[in-house]
Amino acid sequence: MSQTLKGTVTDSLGNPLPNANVIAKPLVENAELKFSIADYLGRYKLELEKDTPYEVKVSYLGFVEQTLNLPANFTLKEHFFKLKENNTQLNEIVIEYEYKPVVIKKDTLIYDVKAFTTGNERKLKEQLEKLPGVEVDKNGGVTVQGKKVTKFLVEDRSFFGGGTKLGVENIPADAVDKVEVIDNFNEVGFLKQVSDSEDLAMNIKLKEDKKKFIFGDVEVGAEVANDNEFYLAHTGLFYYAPKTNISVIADMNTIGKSTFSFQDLLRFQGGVSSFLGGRKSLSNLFSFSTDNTDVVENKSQFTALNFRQEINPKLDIEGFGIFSKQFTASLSTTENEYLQNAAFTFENKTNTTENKTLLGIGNIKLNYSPSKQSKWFYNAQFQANNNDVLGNLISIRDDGSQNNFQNRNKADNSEIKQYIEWHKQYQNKNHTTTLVVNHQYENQKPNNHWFTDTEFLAGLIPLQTDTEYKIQQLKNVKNNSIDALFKHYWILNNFNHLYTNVGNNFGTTNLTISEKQFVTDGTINDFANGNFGNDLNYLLNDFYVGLEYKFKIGKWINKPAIYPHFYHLKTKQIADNYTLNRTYLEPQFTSEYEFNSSENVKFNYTLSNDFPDATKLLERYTLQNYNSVYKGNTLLKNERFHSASLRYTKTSMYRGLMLFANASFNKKVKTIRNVVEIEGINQFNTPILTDNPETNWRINANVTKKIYRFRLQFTTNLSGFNYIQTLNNITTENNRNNQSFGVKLRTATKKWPPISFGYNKDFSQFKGITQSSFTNDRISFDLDVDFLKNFNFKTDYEVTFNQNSQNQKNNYRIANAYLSYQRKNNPFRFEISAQNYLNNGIKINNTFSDFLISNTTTYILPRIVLLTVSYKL
Amino acid sequence: MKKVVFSAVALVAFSFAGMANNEVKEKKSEDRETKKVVLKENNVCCTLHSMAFDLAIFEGADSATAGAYADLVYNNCLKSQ
Amino acid sequence: MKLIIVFLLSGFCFSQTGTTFIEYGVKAIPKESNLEKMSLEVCPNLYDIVEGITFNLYANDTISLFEIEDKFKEDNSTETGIAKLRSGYNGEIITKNDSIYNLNFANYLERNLILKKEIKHDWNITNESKIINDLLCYKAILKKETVNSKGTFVNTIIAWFSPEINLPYGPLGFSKLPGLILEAQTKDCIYGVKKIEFNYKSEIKFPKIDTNKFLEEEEFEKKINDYREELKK
Repeated sequence: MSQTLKGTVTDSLGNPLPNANVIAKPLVENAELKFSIADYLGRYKLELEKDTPYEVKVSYLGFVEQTLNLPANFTLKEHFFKLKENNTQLNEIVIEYEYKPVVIKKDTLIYDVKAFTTGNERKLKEQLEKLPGVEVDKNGGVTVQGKKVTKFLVEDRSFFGGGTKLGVENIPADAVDKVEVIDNFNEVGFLKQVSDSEDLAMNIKLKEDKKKFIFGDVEVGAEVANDNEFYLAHTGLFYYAPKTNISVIADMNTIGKSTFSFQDLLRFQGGVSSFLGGRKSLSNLFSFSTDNTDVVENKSQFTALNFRQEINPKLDIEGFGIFSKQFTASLSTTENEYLQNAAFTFENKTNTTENKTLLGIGNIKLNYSPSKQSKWFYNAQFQANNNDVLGNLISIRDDGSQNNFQNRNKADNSEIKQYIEWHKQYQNKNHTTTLVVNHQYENQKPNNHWFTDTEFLAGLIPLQTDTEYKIQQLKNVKNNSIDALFKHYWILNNFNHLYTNVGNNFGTTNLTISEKQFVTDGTINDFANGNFGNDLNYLLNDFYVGLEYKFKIGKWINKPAIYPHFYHLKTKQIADNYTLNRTYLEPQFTSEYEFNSSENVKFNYTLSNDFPDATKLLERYTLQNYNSVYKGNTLLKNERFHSASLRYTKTSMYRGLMLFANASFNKKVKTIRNVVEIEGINQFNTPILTDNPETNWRINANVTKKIYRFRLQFTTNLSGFNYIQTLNNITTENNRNNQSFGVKLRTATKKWPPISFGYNKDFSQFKGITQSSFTNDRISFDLDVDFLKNFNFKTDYEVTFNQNSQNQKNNYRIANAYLSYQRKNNPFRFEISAQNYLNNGIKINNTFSDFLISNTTTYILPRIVLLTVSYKL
Repeated sequence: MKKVVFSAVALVAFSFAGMANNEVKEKKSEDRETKKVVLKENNVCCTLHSMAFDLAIFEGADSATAGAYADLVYNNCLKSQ
Repeated sequence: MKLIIVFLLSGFCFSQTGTTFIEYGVKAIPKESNLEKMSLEVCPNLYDIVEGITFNLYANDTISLFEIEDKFKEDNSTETGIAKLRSGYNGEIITKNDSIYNLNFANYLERNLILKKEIKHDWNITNESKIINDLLCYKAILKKETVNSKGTFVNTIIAWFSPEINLPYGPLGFSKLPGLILEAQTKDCIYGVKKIEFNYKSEIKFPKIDTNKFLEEEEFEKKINDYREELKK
């Protein structure tokens, strides 16, 4: 709706002031500035928005400026400006002002792809790697100036659920025109000014002539030289039109190439509103293995379909479906050293597993924008997965005793998640509200079996002596939660914002566990008689009110906040019921100082309370593993911790300098930690709440500098963890520290092929009753060279050296090479690849835990020489 | 193709280095015909002309600006011959 | 008494309808590109030369002329030539009615050609403002399209204009804002007003636009392509 304001601009005598500029500045953000230039008779005419307040200003050199304030929904139709002459006579204005170009726009960085790339890139990933400040990791994750891209868009629209991997590895390079990076991204435009969203979005702009297009490729690879049934078949087909997007990705391979891994699954999660990110999803507990390459066999099949349809300018439907089937076989051997204060037990463990997983996800999202000032989102997701793990485990101890287990873990999990979000900006544009309701239901049914011929966990589980042992564990976890949040944003002025939050998180868990021994004589030994078996009803409600005040002093933005929380925890178990009510004030403080557009520092502090989840409260024993038994603690209360972080960023495009530094510190003042009793390899864990402080800190820094034609990068990561551990009734202070340093030199000129050398060194120390340490050195080399016009050769090499405090040393080398041929503008591409060409069979890894030092050797896929032909649509 | 462009850039650098001592300002030829004749004899300068034009176009210059760049580079090349 | 003052001041008012003279300074924004490398090899102190150039804008109610200061006008040295182009300047620019006329932009082809373009300035005027030397300026953003044989290039132009000075002009032919552009940033450089003289005394002749001499962009495109073809022979 518009409203016209007409009138004239004259001097005090009524002489028209032709060409006078009448500027109507809206008093709310995101509204358009309007203007009118007076004609030769001094007449002007302004078309203004009805619901917007304006400040109408007429300034004319030599006259006193006049201002007319128009409230929203003003009724004034005419106004005659009579400007008073001022007494300064001006013939000349000399301007002394330092004009400074703006280098980086605060919120958006736009890379014109062709300015950085050679045109030989095949996929977006290779283009991104050439953009300054952009890094793509091996899992398809993208970081821009050290910050992870959390939203991935194509033409301002979410692409396959917003994850980066599918996009960067599949969008053909030649369709890409520009890459926009949007910081503090928020899908609701009008919330941008009030949101603290940490989302970093990458938006791919397609070339004008590819706005309506099918693109994609088909790739088929078969093994040459040997025949170990290694193959690869991949297709990615995309249909893009301004109103409709459909994309299909299908992949089958046996070479460990993960088109879709668990990491993607996390990114594909959807179903949960970004405004309520706090709830932990238990599905992580029973998920697949994330490893795809460190296995001896890997067959994966995968299909994904994604669509978006604009129904009308106000309504948009998006959705995706995924189906994945995977079979992996893995083999690893582990040397474990169990620390029992004075004594040690050594264990050699060989683990073979075969894992079959099936996963299906359906997701649908409706975006409805009834007006410019309001927006609705509804999202629903259904997910089902089935895991079947068949394992064989041989454990041999230094006293000669040994166990041989066969185990089978099956799990059927299903999940429904949905949420609704409503955002509204009010007539007075200084007020905005958001309402979010989130619902989540999970049902998980893991079913574990152990078969063995020797008694195990003696004294910890009520085993009945038998010739062979068959133990079954049935679990059922049902989580149900409804979370709601109402937020009100109030912009007092450009420098003061006030946000009010009212929310409630309600969650229940039903957890049942039963353990049984199937005796060979046909009888069943229910462990329930030995105080095993749990049946827990758990309810946690958290009602909170929060007040956040954001104020700006020059370049300094502060946001103190106070959140009173009212917690109510209730459990009902076989023997006891337990209720806990707590009220806490949880303060938060954020402070950000922006020296200039390319240098800023940010500080963050929160005090929070974390209530134990259902498993921590189990009143009876439960079998955790072939060598561990766990019991919860029904009377646990909440943990309490302070967390603080400081972040500093400086970038200078001209000088090719990028510097990021982060420091974070967490201190728990009330701590839940497992008390461990260990005998040989057998453990019993139970959590207790103490006032023992637990601290962990981390400092990391990353500096990149362009020197001549090279880019030199230093990375440092220091971390420490200090905690109090009770082990076999002795309480000690433990320290775990880790220091890693890295240096990388890359060529940074198009004149030379991209080559990089890297060296990383990590130190890890464990200090408790015993001391242990290890170091890890990695040297890496990458090369990517084009030659003879149509050929490309790529190779990467990494050698790892491990050494521990017992002076045990080992090392392994992983190298891959790819030689490809593609004639320019020819859709066919041929590639010979040699994955793991040194045919190194193992990877070795050292780890610590509270009482365990491990050295794990993982057997990996052998050398695979593949001839691949791909055709690009 | 890439390599050709880069070596041509290097060439520009050399040709200008050679011309730093040339104090005499040449009067720009207004006669298109004579210029054309010269053009045919100077393949290197022609290459530079065309390269400068393409580089400017590649960066988003309009034809007039690209042409002006090309002309400057070309004339400079001639002077240093 | 009052009358006299009014008389004096109204005399001044008309000053804004006479010719105003505006002096712009310019600074190059360094960039990394092949063209830039080539330019820097030809002219190592390019950025200093660019900063030493002053551009003049003469404007009245109906017409504006933007040109390089006289001392560089006839300077045909390579350095100056590159510096001019680096500033985005390629010949005098006249804005009149809804058209831009570019003069002396292709003297290597033919003298006195005039290139005519429509002003398609679709400015997005923002609420953002700043003060430049006591003058309140608003920020306006223009997505400027350049079409050439390699495609369409869209560059963001950021202009800060002062409504108080009611001349809808600016450097490089940027115009149609409700006020004089005091600062304009292109992808290559930033222009800023150094001096404004109202009621400019010296006589200024706006070059005549000979309608027979002017070319539309497509015609010129053809001309230059023919020329390049000839070169290749």
